[in-house]
Amino acid sequence: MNLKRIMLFAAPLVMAGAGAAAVGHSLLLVHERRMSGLPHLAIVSCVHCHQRSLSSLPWAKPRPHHDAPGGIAVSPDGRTLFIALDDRDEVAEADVASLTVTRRAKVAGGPFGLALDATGKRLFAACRHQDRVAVLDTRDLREQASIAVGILPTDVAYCLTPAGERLVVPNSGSDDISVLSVSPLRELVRAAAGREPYAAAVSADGGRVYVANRMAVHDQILSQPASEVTVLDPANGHVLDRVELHSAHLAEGITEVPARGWTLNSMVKVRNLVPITQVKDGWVMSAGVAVSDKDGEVTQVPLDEANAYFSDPSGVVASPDGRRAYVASGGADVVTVLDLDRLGAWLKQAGEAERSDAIEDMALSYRYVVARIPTGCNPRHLALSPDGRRLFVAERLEDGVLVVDTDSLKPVGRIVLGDGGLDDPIRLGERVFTRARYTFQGQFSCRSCHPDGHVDGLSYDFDGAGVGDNLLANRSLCGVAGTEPFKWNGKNPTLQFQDGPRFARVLMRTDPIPQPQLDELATFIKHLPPTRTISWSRVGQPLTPAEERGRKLFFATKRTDGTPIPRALQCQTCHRPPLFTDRLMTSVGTQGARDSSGVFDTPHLIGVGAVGPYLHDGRAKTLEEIWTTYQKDDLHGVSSYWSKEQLNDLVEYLRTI
Amino acid sequence: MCSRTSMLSGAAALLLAGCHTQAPEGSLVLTQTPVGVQPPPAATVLDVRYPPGSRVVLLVPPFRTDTVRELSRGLAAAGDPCVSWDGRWVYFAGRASDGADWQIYKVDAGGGRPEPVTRMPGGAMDPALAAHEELVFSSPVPKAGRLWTSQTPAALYGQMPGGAPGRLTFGPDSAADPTVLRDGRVLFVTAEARDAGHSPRHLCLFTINNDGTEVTAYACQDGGADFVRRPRELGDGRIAFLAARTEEPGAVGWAECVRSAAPFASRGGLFAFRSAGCRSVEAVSGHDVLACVDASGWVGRSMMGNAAVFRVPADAAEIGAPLFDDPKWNSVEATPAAARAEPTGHTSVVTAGAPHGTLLCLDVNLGSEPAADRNAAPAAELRVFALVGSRQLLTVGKVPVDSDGSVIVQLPVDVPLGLDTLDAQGRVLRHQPAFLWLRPGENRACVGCHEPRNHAPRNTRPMATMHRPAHLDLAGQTPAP
Amino acid sequence: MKTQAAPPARAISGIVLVLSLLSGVAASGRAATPLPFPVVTRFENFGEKDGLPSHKVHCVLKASDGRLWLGTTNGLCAREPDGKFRRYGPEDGLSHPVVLSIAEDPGTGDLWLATMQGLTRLSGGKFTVFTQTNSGLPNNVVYGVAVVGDTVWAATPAGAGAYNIKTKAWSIYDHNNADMEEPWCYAVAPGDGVVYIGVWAGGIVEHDPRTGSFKAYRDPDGDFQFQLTPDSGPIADITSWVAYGDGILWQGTYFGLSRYDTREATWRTWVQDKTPLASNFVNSVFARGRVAWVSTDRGVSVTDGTHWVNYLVDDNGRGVVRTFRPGEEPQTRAMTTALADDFVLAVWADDHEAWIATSNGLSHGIFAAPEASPTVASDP
Repeated sequence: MNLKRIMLFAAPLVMAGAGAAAVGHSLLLVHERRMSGLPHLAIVSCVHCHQRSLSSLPWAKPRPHHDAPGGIAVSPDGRTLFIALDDRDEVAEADVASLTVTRRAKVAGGPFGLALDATGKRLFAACRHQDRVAVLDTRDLREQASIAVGILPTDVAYCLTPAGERLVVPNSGSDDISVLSVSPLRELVRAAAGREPYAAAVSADGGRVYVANRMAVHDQILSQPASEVTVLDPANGHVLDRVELHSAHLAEGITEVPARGWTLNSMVKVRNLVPITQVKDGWVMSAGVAVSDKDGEVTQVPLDEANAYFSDPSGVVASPDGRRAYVASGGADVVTVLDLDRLGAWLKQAGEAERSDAIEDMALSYRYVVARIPTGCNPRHLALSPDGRRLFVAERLEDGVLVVDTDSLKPVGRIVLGDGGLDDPIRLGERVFTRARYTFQGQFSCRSCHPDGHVDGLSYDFDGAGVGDNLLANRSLCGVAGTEPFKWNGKNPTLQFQDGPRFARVLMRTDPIPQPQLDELATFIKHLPPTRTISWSRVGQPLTPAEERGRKLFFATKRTDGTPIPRALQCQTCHRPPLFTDRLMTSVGTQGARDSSGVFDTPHLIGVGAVGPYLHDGRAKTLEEIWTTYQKDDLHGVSSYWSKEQLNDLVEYLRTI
Repeated sequence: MCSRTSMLSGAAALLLAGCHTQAPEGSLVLTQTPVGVQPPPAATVLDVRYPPGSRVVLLVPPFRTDTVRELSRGLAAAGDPCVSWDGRWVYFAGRASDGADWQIYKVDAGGGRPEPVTRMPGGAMDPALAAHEELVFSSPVPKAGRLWTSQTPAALYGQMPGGAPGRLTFGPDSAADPTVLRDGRVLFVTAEARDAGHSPRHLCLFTINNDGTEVTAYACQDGGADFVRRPRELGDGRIAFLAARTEEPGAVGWAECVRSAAPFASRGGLFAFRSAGCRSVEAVSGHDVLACVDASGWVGRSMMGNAAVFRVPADAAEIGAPLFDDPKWNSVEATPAAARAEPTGHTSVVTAGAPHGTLLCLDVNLGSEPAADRNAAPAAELRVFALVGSRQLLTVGKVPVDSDGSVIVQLPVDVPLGLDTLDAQGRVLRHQPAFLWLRPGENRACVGCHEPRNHAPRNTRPMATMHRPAHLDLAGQTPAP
Repeated sequence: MKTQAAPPARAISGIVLVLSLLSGVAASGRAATPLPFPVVTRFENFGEKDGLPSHKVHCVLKASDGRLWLGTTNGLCAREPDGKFRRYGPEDGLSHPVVLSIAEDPGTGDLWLATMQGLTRLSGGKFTVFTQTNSGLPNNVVYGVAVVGDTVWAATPAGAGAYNIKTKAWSIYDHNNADMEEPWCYAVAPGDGVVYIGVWAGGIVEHDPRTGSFKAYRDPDGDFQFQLTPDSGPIADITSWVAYGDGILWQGTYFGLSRYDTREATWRTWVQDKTPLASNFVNSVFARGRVAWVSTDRGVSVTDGTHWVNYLVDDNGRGVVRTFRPGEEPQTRAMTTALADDFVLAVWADDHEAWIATSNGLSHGIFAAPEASPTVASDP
């Protein structure tokens, strides 16, 4: 067959194909632009709008579980340890002398915080995935009773008061604290807390409970944020005080030092209001301890050094004689030992200006830090034996509990709980996520701004776009799988791109994370499930009437009076289920004076109830404010016809997503 | 069609490329200078340190004079070795022949022919290695005794393998003796900022990133001996260096250190014993230190008047016996020929071609003096001047200071800048001599003016960030008063 | 706009008072039937000169920790243990300086403050503000607040807002969904498992949270000026306040007082002049058990529905106490001290003392010893 014939035969086919493609292209454009309401939209992938189901996303699929230790409780005789294994739905019992696990018991719902009663006969477990506290008999580790508390309880503190036995439970997901009576087991009071109450410590006399709230809150985006220590009377649940820790976040640990009348809070001093032009000298954040004395005076002191950081301080405990404190730094794999005599001496001679300035003095800690004990990966919870001679360090991503002799400050062994999970790429990615070694001098880790993958609720000024320009609100990583592109300006098509060279240039100030670790990190992030924003008891239940009304409003195509809502301004167009984002760029009229653009990547709404503040720079403190204060010309959905009740209903619905 | 000869040559080259001879474990790389040899006339600073015949050698265990292998074979003089992170290569300063410029050479640690890796006009010295085998060095090589007074001060350069050198420092005085810290910064020696003709020269330690950004005081700014040299990071959180009272050619000093945890508050002796006559210190495994010390007059040690190598434990009460001592040579520098952890890298923030950088000061009224001693009057303006050409001082311009003391301004790049804060009547409140520079596109911030050392900023939003930065440049500027 | 009584009426009151005094003197020596509630023997008065931030005190509450709290037109005020008054204003985080009502959460000890620009929670020394823009609060003008179990109720002109402390959900009840004539709510009070909402021009609405039901209590004669059918229902639909104690629901209006016995489902109503009620213009009612302290524009009436004690101020500014016992002649006597002002806005009382918020200061009413019966002998 000669070439001419081939050409004659193929040419019409090619032309027909080209014509079909052109027609298809046009039809596709028409379809996209009509459905999105964006008249200038270029061709995008079908998956933007016709998304996979949630069940196909990585976080929805089964994954390996690990023996990651959470809270630790030490028996009154110091011989036995109880270790929470939330990922396994278990509590392990270990013998301190032999450093071996002797028993394990199933406790449903992810036990994370533990407490023993004064006799050691009852073990209380805060089960964060089922919003309950379980009561176990330590003789057989069987569950005797259970009581519902708030959302995502992370700790439980036991105390004996003149009014009876009490349990105090910080509920990190509902921002409140449950005060329970033990006999009978019931909730007495639900007290409002700060943001994400996380850990509780009881005063030695049982008269006070101190609850550390992990996250900082600000009045408006350019004001200094503060986290809170909520002080309650456990006998009656009354809130006695709310101590503000200025510019402190990730305040996860708290302990009392009865011999001194102090409480110690582990904390990160964040400097989000200062443009990130550098990282050295604690410019972005630094680790510290907040010392509160009995007069209510708080002094924040650094844990870090001038040229080395010990990021993500978490568990903190003090020796019974009040002379030493131990702080776990999850990002640096270190436990820092503080000499409280020296710290007390410095505090005593320091004037007000010096104390106010202390947390900024990166060279101060050498005066009272006496040792840094290397640990396994991601030390978080700490516990001391009653005699103070043994320190127990929960190495969360090592699947073990390190045991340290407090005289020599050297490890004497490890209680092995699991194999470390190094064959699990998700676990490997979590290690990358929690390690600070990828930032300059190890100042912070991914977790520092995204605790447990979530969000710190702060806005930051990255200098990449110009100093003072483009203030950006941090975003949660929970449930981000499938929602690319990333970043408010939508310029990062993948997580690897997001966390790659540009991130290294703008924030990490080091070399980019090596590709293998970058891939592991992306794997981990993709497996972070959305944050639960409703009570566990409501999961899978029908919507309340208010939520259902809100849902209808969300999906409304017409106003109350019947007039149509333009497709481009319908909530469901840009926030399209199941991810509640069309992953396209849109303007909703929120461009600020220093923003280089008003067009932003449409954020997904899964877990939106827990990720405030809102909008690209965090200007809206609550969901309501998106429409009551920052809505302009109905550009962020048509809301001008809504009544206040309707707005309330919509908010109720959004909180269920 | 390839010739058989070519194929055989290529195969041999391939084989040789894969055949790298590793230095035996425990080996040291030394600089040896011949005893009693004087530097030539019109000598450079390196000629004084490394007189003709000086060599870089590999010393293999058991550290005898007959276990020395010369690595700088073929060069007239060599010294200042620096081992690559993988332990495979040795970089050093060498001179091909008398009269030739000193350049940086690279040689296989297992032996071979050294090859030059720099071709700097005026020569190159002080090799150090950053991440990714980036070479950091100082250039040009000044005349003897003129390191700190040369009209052409030495600057630091960075050079990637196979790449062209890029200048890193732009201060008014020489920048020398770089070393790379584990965190990736380059620690080097230069003179504390001062106005021309004022104050005696005081050398101290500064850091920069490997793109020349964030020049920052590190240690020794406040007091102590005026001359420091050869800083080295030890494994125990200390930075060791040599100190001396004079910069006379051939002068040797003693070993000091600061703690990285509080570098401005911890300057002191490196050893528990006197360490006069110390030529160099280097970190070695554990917390020990390799020190090259003049051994003359020491009881129990060599009485020959030469420098020997000592391995000194961190808590040693005395120097102990030398690790290696060849009476025919001064062993003046020693470093382990072993692989070490590579320092952290740094992604450059320099935007090539950008005509300006941005300086933000959070509070120009905040200094390191006690609050009670601070100026009562707040600053109203910031005046900027630049040192250009042959040390001509130009006033670049003035910008208003916001009411909270903050100020933001775009400034010329790669030129030493000085700052004055002025009150409402134009009187100088604080004066910073021309010293710091901005790299193209660099955004640089500081906490205060003569800010407290090692201080993090307070978490407040500076008013200066609420408006666009003022812009100052060098065009049409006038000489400074 | 509330106004004080016209001078002629006051003059008549003065004449009545003198006559009462005379009759009281004549009757001196006869022992009176003990009253079922304590009686104030004297007042201590506090004004701006004593440190109050404003002379006009809208509300008063003694918290469970014993601390006294006042809502004024110039901020929230607390009486410290040393007796001094400490002010909190917007600069401390309070939503607005005009504080109209205060309620305590008995569980947490938190105080909830109704202000002219939002609802504020004071907890552990920290103020948290809820407004109609940052939360589900129906309207920023909050007249009344009450804590009922896990829910904080706020009475606003745009309906009653209910905030669930545990779920953080807001609900709004108004004329659209709650059997209200209109949304203007003035007060809210907890009952036995129910919530009472005082609706301006809507009477009282009873809400049962367990069932979600609403039930309205309306003036049966539909006339707010005249009481055509006494004791048959709310005296008027213009409700200014509601209070509840021990099965008794009290309704304050600008046209008289109503009392509803929820157990017996019976109503009583009172108007001035025809009954012992000091004035029809009722600003608020404080219920302690089955006794009500009624704040009016002419003093305070304390009653259990049968016995009455009125604390009045005569035209010369002297304090007068007038007692009504069933079957007995009213007794009137002068007091050595008087209320700070007879325009009374709110009362808080327990078994030991009473605190009375007036438009010109705060009065501390000190009770007689429980056994002592008030004699009618005039004081020097």
